[in-house]
Amino acid sequence: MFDTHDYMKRVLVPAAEAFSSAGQLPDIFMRYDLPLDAYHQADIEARIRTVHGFWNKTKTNPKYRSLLERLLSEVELRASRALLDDEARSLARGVVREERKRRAEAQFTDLDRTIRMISGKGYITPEERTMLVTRYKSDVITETDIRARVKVPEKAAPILLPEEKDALPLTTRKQIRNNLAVLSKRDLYEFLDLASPSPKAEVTARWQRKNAEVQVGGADFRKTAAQELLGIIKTHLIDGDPARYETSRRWEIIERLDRDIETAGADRHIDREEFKTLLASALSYGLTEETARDYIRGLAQRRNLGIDVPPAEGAIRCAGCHAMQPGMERDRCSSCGAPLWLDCPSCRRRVAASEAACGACGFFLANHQIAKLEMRQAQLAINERRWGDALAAAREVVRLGWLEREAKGLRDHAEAELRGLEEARQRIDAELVAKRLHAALKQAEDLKRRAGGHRFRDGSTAADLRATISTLLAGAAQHVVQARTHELAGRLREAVFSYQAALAVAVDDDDAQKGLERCPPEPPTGARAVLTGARVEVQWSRSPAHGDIQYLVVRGAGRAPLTPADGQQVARTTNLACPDDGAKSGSFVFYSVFTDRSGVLSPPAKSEGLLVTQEVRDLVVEADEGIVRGTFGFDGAARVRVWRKERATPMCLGDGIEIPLNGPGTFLDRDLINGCIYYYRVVVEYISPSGSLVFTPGIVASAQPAELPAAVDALEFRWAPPSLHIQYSVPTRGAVSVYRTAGEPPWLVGTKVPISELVRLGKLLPMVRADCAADPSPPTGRALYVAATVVGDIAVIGAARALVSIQDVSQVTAESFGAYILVRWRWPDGCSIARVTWRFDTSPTAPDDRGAEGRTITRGEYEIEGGFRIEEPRGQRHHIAVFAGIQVGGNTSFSAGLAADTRALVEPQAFKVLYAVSKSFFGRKLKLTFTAGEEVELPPIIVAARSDGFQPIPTNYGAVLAVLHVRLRPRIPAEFEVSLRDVRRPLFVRALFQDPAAARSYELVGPSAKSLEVL
Amino acid sequence: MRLVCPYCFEKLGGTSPAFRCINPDPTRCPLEEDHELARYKRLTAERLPRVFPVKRPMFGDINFGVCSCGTKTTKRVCQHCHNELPGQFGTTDSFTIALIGAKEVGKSNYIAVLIHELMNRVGQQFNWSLSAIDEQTRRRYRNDFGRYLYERREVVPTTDSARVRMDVRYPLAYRLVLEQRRLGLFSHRRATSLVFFDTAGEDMKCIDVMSTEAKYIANSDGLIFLLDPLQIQSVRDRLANQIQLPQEAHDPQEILECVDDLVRRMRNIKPPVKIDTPVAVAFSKIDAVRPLIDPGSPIHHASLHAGRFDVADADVMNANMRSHVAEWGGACIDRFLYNNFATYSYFGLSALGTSPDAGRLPMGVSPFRVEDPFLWMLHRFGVIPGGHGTR
Repeated sequence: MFDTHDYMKRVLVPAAEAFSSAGQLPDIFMRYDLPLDAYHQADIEARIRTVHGFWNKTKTNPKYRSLLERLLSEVELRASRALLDDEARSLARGVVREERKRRAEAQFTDLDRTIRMISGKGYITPEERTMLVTRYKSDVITETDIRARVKVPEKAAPILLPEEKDALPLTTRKQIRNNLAVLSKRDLYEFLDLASPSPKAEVTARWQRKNAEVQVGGADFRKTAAQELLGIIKTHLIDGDPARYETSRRWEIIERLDRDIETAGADRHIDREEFKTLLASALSYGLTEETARDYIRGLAQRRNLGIDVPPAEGAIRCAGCHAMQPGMERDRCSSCGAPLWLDCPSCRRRVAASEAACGACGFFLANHQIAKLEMRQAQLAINERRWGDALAAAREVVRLGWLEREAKGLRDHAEAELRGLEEARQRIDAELVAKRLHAALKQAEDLKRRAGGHRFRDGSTAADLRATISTLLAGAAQHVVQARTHELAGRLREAVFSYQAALAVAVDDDDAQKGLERCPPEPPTGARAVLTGARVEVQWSRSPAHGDIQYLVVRGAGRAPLTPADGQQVARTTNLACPDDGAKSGSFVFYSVFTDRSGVLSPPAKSEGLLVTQEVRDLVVEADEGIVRGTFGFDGAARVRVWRKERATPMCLGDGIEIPLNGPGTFLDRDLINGCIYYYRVVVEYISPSGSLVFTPGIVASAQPAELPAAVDALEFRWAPPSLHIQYSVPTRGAVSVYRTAGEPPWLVGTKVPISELVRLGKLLPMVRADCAADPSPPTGRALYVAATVVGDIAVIGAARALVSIQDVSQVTAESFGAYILVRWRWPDGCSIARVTWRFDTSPTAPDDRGAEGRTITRGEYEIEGGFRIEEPRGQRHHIAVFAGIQVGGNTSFSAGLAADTRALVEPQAFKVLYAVSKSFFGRKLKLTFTAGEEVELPPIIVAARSDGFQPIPTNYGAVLAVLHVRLRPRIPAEFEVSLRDVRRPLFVRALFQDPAAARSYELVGPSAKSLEVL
Repeated sequence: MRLVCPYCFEKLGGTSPAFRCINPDPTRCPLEEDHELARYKRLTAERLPRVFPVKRPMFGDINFGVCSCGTKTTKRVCQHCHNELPGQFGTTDSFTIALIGAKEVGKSNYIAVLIHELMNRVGQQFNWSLSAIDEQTRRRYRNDFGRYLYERREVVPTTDSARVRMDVRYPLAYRLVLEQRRLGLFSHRRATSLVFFDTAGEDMKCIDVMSTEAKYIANSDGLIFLLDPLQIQSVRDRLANQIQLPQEAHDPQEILECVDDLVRRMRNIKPPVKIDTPVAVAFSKIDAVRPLIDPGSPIHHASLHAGRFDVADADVMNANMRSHVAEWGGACIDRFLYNNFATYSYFGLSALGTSPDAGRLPMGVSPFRVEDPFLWMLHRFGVIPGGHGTR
């Protein structure tokens, strides 16, 4: 009996809390409140149904809604199926048990980690146990719990080290050590050639033999050493306790090892590397690894050092008590007896029981139960044809890595089945779209058998699909029954509507189709065919038939078709007319029009016969010198005739002269008068079935033959901002057109072409004068200009010339700074190179002007230099031009430089005259010495003096000491004396032109400022 | 060699140079709040690797320090302000040149063009190389100067006050390496550190602002005092209808007076004594006033410093410009300079070569005589030789 109150209290409330806090779902036994050992399938089924009912009723409660919606999801309900199969339930039980155990032990995680750490050595010390209790004892974990979880024994004094009091006396040990060293032996047993240690009887026997051997031969230090050793053996190994000798050996090792440990533990800790080094030392002293480890630990303990002991090589950890177990050959733990190894459930290789995953195949051992359960779920789903569930479970097993081959086999099988089902479903959908319901139903029944309970993407099953189709077919059948009733009652119109309604549902409904065939539609009336231009048009009147009807138009040759099979179908339409482009020119055709009602045809409505007559197409007449050439296209089997007339159109057949064809689609009219316009009418002549000739109206074209003009031989460019003018010599005959083309022209110079073809040259430029065309906006970059001379309809291709059109630089300025002339300009966009040229007589004409000097400069150089510098300019006028450049095909092309602001003029520098100033001994006179490189007569010069501490300048020059008229001859100095009487000192003197304007032509270069100062 | 921090201008000698640890692991060398640097930047103290002093050896200099965490570091910082000193600071001669002038006189344009010219055209004449010492200089020159003039072709925007923008307080530090000949026989390479300061004109309006934001002026080895002739009333009157004149700005003499006051206060120089810092009085935008200058003036010619500073040209230029300054009504400036500064000289230059068109420079930058004041300084410092030109 399911007690909902009790279920709520024990299961649902805790589950809801766990779900909201940690997102944890109850396991499948708990959620159905089933004991783990539940086995009666009917009871389990009943419980699942009951609980599902309770969930559905309770899920409106906001407190449980999120949990119950999740539990009622497809995935979770699918998981509950495991309870209904004995084997799956058994596996699920194992999984749940493990999980419950894991959750119960979650509180011990930290404690277990610590125990695992300290149990590695195979025991724990009382101090460690006390520490565990102190650290982990709480309200939840009692001391008993802690003790119970420690699986290794507790040892008080784990390591007993040998003591010196149990060893031989120190003097004896020294004697043994020294004498063994003399004989190069490791110990007394080796001296006796015995294994170490050996029984006393063997030692005695061996001693006697050795003693006899030693007595032989002369005395030497080896013999003495052997005798001493034999004495010690007699005393301590034969007559005494051999254990003391063993203790002595160990004590000596302990002493050496202790010194090593003292060094390694200087920082109060021995780390793993130090431990390994110590272990290697101990092994080299003759200890076994186990003993060596014990001694190192013991000595470290005695010195109170921290020690980090690495596990022995090949040691494994026991899964039960966590003790490290040396050697791979042990099967069970020496501490707790638990098995150390198990077989990997996936690959069957041996794996340590303490490992989480198999080192060979990577399978997580903890997943074993889950993987088994999923595998069982997959098998169950396949048996029940739940292919989606099977695929999900098989994929999970593959993900877990268990029994990879079997899991992949299941997965592939499920995938193939699902693919087949989806394909079948797609075929049914296609049939449904085409409204072939009977075919769809047949396939749906087949699919139902194959798919079982499989749900497709839209959530439906094959059974659902079949039911839907059946419902639709039932509707179609109803229509058929109604139609039949109407038909029997003679109500054919209603019967037709009902039959068509049935076919609208299922086009492959045989009953409806047969019913309609019993009620054929009436044919249309008034069928006729007429020629409209180059095509035939078929026309008819509406059929009186009811229902959805179409008209089928069929063309026949020689007679009207009686059935659609008798001719060629032209159109299927609901209109009352249709064109026919397929009728051949010259053929005699008939047309039949049928009324089509759901595939049932009426008798035909027939048209009269029609002779299909068509004109020629694409007629072109081209004039040449004294001839006209015509071309046209025509496909039919009829005769084409051409009549020509001068200056007027031939009005009818025989009006003018008939020109014979000189080939299919061409005619040539010779011996014509140049300048006269000729008209041509091209007519097609057909023969009707009755044998009479039928002519088309014809097409008219005209042409004007003319004497060929001469081609333009050359083009000249001239820049007329903002346009480019293209100039040429006007030919004696014809008019010239100039075109701008981007690429090469399609014809060579002198080629005759029809004027209609000239558009291929590109853009026609406007004419400025008879000998000049203008390009108002020449493009940047390369452009080609082509001239064509046109006379009548003929053009002769003339010269072509390329122009690299580059936007010029602008605002060119040049300024002389003595040592250089600085040229600056504004760069056009996209231009990064320019050529600067300069001449002294006139402005440079082109970038490559041979009479000019020049240099090419990049924009980067311009930026660094702050412009272009003409270094050390001559004392002449500089005409400077700057041409913008562009790289075209690896070559640099420059602009025309035609604009005015691409040029600048720099006047010659002022004529330089040097002067020096010297003072007389008493400073009463000044001597000014002028020199120049050429003969020159200078304008009047004043010698100015200022006493206010500043240098004389033209606008404020102070007192005038003298006015000099200087005439100079090349490199011959002219000297002048100037009196300094009556002038207040200190003063600053300077020679200046009396007329400041003279400084534009002459430059007086004075001495240093000091020289001009008179104190 | 007198070493001064280029940031805080405190003396850098002493026995304990400071270094900043470069250990990247803060667990081994914990970060510390750097109050000294924060005080300099006027920001909240930031947690940075620790700064520690190192005892200087008896002889020679120390160029690395070892932190208590064991990390060796060469990142030397000023022990006063904790700013990182430029590489090899103190191992070479170092000269600090401050650029002063009123607002919109063209200081930023001048410094931008000057550095460009020194690196390219002038560098070629003197066969020297000028390179930024630190990344901050490279970044600031690229972003605040070069980007405008040489990429966008527009004038450098007005510099923000150091009170507004922190990085204005940081100088542009360069290393100049050139070959010097001794007795005409032996040559050796000489490296000199040059530190340029560009400051907003508004920080020079009064002595109080200048003493906090531009106190480097007092510690500079040379001053370039940039004057805009178009701000002189007499010049404005003569050019009134010929060119577009800028707005009237601060009286240049007031700035000179503030500088004089600052230097005297901070260096404790009593009034009768002249200040020994060389001052280059440079008239900017000279291209605009060329029509007012007499035709025989050297201002119409470019300077020619072919591997040495043209002393004769500089003398003639100084005398000529001085006369023109007096002519334009600037005699008081000359008298002030004469009475307060031991060394000064006049120059005329044009950084851009032409007047900008609404802030844009469509024909690029064509500097004229921009290097003259700087070369005069270097000649005074003994870095480059002087000689008489060929003109």
